[in-house]
Amino acid sequence: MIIKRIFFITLLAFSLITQAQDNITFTAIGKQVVKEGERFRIIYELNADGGAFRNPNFGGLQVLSGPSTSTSSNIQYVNGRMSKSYTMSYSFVVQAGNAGEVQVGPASVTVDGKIVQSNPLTITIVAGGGNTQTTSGGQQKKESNESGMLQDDDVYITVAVNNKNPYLGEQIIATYKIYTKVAVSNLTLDKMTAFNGFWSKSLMGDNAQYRQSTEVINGEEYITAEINKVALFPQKTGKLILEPAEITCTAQLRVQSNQRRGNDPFESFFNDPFFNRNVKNVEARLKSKPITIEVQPLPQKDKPDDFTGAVGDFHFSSKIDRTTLSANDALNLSIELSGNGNIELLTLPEVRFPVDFETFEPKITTSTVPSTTGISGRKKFEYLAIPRNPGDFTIEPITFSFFNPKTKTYERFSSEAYHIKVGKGSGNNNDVTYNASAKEDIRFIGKDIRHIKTIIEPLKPVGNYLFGSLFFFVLLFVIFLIPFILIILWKRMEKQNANVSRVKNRKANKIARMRLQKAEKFKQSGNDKGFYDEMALGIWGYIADKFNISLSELSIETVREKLQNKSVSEEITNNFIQSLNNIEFARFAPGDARDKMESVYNEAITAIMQAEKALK
Amino acid sequence: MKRTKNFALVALLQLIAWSGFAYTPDSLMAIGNRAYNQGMYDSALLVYDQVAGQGLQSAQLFYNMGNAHFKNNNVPAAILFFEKARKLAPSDENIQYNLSVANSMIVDKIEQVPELFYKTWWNYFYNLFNADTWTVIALFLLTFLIILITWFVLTKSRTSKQTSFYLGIIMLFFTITAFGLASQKYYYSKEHQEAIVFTPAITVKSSPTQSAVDLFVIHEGTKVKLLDRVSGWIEIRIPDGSIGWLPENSVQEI
Repeated sequence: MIIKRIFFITLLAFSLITQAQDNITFTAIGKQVVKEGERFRIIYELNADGGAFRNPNFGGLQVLSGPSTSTSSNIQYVNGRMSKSYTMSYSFVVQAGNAGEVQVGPASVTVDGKIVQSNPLTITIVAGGGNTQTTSGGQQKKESNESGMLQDDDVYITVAVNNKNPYLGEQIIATYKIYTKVAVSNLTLDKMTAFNGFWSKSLMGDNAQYRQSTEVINGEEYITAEINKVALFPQKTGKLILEPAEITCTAQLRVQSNQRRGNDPFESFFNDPFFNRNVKNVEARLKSKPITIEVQPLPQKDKPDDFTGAVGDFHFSSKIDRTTLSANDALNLSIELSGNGNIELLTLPEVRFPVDFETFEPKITTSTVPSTTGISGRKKFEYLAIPRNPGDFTIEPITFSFFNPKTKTYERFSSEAYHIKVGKGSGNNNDVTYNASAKEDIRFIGKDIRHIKTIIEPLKPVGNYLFGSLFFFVLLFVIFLIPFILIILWKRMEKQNANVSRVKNRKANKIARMRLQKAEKFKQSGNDKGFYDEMALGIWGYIADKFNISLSELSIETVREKLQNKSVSEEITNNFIQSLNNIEFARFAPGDARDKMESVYNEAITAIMQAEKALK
Repeated sequence: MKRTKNFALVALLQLIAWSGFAYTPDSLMAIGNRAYNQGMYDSALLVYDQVAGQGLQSAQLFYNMGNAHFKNNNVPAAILFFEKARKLAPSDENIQYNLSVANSMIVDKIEQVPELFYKTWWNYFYNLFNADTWTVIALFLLTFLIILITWFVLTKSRTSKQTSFYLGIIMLFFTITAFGLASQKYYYSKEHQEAIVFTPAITVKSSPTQSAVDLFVIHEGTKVKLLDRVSGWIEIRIPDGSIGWLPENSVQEI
């Protein structure tokens, strides 16, 4: 391009010089290669006013029209010098005949009485149809794009990613650029990259103008424009592939070639695609190369508990509108996150209101600003809470953690703890009247297992069971021994009991006598109550000892029965009973004379003696 | 401060791991509990494992181990140890609660086959005490029964003979029941009759070969009954009554 431009400038300069020297040029300009039957133009240009134009010999070319004459004059002041140029042109429209070479002879014109001849032209006519490659040996290579074929490096698109190795969730920017050497129009995105595994947001406005710039690549000048710019947030780790984007555009190619060889300064102007009628529109499909992005996971080290996946550079602030209020009044708590990163995907930090507060879904406002450096913006969470009961409450500090890929560390913001004083609400609500309906069920906030047992229990060896163990069988054996032990004990007790009764039997008489002697003493001292008690004890005790029965079980009936069982004679038994009765009677009806005591005493002694004899 | 304290604890745990028998099981339990209280569940497990490695057990040990596994998000292991703890202390309320919490976090929801009423009663008594307690109860009842029989034989009085006879009949019934429960509990405790699935998802086969027909899929944390064992395979029954075969290494016995 530059070379071309230099070439052009030299030509221009040269032409000016020639004119200054009053050199008259008469040039024939025409296509070098044409197709069979093609219509084209041959122009004879004269840089002076001339006349008496004589048609050249067109050989095998058929003249369709011409010559048509046109003149143009140009007066220029360059650095205070006036220069004048004048151009006269005769143009013919001719049609090529059959394939072959045609010689167009020189034309002549008369300028100031002199005859000036133009250069001859050699025109090659090629067989018709198709776009033939017409590059001839002498042509410069860079002009090949004017041959009617679109080269690969004439126009292409690239994808540039600013970071091919981002962290999970880190913002990266993919830029789609078109590079072109030819004029293009009608850019349409056939297929934008499917951003599988990414959350994407376009950084270009919907109707943004493509900004053009020029870049030199491999020594060639390209016009470039960013056609798309996307902020990408990888959502999974590992290899992610940005699939190619496809674009269709119309490339405008110059199909005329070799015309440049003419040294006319204006030729290239007319050859400009804008003016040139012989511009060919070629539809080009462009495809970018796929790009592999290796997403690395976030470091596990020092990862905060409340980290929810925010990656970027954020700032956090929280605000509460008041800390003293009355019950049933509303409280506003707003949290604002701002910064550079994926603002829209941020999850709201957990706010732990006291359970007694009625809370509502937060109002979330997000504003993002796409720019060439990525997405930034702010996200605001506005909480509305209504304390229902008076008291002192605390809203625990709200924390927000994020990973900063620049410093490769986790950062954490924490708000202060808000202490809220809730006074009694005004007005007559249920909470003030302490009736049963003000009671509330206990609300469970979380569910967890119960705590470990901290009191240490005795540890036992594994597999040590009582059942089936040796000790178990020993116990069983002991248990089955119990009846034998019991029987033995029973027998011995019986035996002992028998011994006791025998001793008692033996001693019965003796004890009875001792009692009666005691009674005798009472009789002599005249204590009739003591006498009868002692008498009763003596005679009853005798029977009790004799038959080994307790005193409480004794009665007249049992005495009779016992005596009869021992086959004591009727008479003795009756005497005994008689004596018992007399003592009992005298006991409860005392007051009698001394001789009554005497007879009772004698009677008892006789009864005991008789019984003793009979029971032996 | 807390960090240095934790470091000290970790160092202590290391020491325990090397020295092995330097600590009594009771002090190890206390160290484990302290680690648990500080949220160092891995370390707590390490210490509890030391105690269990000495061939000792208690309901508390298994319960605390289950808790530590649960806090480490290892739900099947937590269920395994809660079940082990429940075997030793069947009527402990905390164990039952934590087991139910852990069970609520597993994938499989298996419909229980409804039981007959007498089986429910039996299970109620069965789950009241552990094997040793039932054994002691049975022995006591037996002693009582024997005494009643002896009394019946020895006594001469008519009323005491009648009383001892009827009491004896009742006691005989109780004794047999208690011995039944004790022996069942004993075999249940001694033999591994149940297991917990530890593989995240596993296909139950129709016979003990890999090529057998797939019957159904169960997930980790599910309790299965062991029925049979054939060279690396076990026959299992899940609570809804379905029976199939699993590789032995996919489960851990309670």
